[in-house]
Amino acid sequence: MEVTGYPDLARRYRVSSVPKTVVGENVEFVGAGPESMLLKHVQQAAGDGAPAV
Amino acid sequence: MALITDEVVSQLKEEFSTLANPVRLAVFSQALALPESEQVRRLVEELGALHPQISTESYNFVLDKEKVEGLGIARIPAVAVMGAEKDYGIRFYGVPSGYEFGSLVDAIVDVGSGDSGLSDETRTALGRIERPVHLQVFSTPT
Repeated sequence: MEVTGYPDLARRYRVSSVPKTVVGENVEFVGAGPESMLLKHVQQAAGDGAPAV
Repeated sequence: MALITDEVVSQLKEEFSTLANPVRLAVFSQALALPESEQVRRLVEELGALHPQISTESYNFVLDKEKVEGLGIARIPAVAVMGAEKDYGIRFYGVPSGYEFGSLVDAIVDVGSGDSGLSDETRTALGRIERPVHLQVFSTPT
């Protein structure tokens, strides 16, 4: 999602630094990370598995 | 004038040479309301001309309501990257320029090769998730 054209989404998801990843509605992180970290966030958003650090 | 330069065209042709499966690109635009969405339609059509495995479909965000709803398109410009039979849920919103263009090309290669590149361990863990999870990645052109 190229966010400059969608200021409403930038506000809604509080995008100040990019890349910002939002998983579900409430789990988020900025920047890149290892696959295992992304998996943890996805599991957390699905309510399945340990909370992401 | 072409949006994709000759130099990039030859790089892309090389990248796309690995496409084993068909890739469908559906682009949603609306020239009157959002002129830059037409640029995205042209870009997608140029991508489609680069490899026989890539096909393109162009839709109007207002007139083609059935497609808009069927593919869950929320805004324009939008590009859906799909397999022939399977929709992996990959959507690009906004103008895919700069780094986003690379991500769009990567998505085409992932779908066309049928391989996300994820490890077996991750796939197993994801397979245990029982409900849909929406991932949104926000970026800017620079």
